[in-house]
Amino acid sequence: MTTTLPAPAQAWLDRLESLAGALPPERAAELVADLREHLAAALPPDADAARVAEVLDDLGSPEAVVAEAASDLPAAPAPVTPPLQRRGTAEVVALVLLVVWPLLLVLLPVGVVALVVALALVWTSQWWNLVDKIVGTVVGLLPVGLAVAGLLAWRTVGSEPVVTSGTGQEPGPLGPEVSVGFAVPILLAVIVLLVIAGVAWLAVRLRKALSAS
Amino acid sequence: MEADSALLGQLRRGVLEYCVLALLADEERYGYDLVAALADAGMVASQGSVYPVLSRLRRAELVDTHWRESADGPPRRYYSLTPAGRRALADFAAAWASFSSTVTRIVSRSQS
Repeated sequence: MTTTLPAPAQAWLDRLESLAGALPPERAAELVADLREHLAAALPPDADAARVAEVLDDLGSPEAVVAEAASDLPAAPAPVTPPLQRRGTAEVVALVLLVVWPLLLVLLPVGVVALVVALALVWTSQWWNLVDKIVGTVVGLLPVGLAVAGLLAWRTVGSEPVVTSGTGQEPGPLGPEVSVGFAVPILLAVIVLLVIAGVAWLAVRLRKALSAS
Repeated sequence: MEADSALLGQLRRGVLEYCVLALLADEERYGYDLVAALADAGMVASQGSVYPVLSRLRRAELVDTHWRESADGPPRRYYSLTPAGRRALADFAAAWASFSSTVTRIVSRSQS
């Protein structure tokens, strides 16, 4: 069909075609073809501007036409989510890994892989938003922070001159070893609490997102 | 009143498909012709939205389409009733007759 339409009509048709992209391809193509045929039938090549405007007005807006064409499609086309993520299974796995990965460090590579997998699942989640994902990352890396802090503390202890009891001078009741001794368990407890809090937050957010869908 | 036209719009949309079937009962027609007939009867606010209705009827196999060459322009798509379409139209005609007479009776009682 090579009939050229008046510019406003072609513009109307172009807008229709662009909006019809939201429809299944066959339906979209048929709709555009039907409307093109209608415009060709309604508008002889010598149609004046008033007639063109009248025909387009009678047609209604491209939005209304596409809406009618979409009215018997499923209400909200769901984005294609991989099966594991549809019900939040991937997220649950991520949460478990976030908690246990330090324990898996007994076999260093396994622990690291577990952390990487956990973070990957967090960032590809369809249910968690950006804030949640940042929380998840922080939770995952907290034990790393603890390890670094522990290492630093250990090296500090190692480089301090240890006052032995042989010289008669004893370290005070709050000697370096003792203060380090306090710090590590406290830090450990804080980090454990933060991890638990972070995981709980993510679990609640997941539940909310799943039930709202 | 705006409320009236919203109400009428809803009523029209509900029966539009059957009006299309009825217009095809005696002869096959092409799209533009059907739309013009419906518009003349005041049955459509937006003529463009008749075409999705025609597609729906075709998908439901109540109408058939075929292309026919036309003397003065590009080929046109003609719509015709299928046997299933004829049955659906007959069913609707019976249901509508009974429904509209019931509604008329109830409403006119309230208005007298």
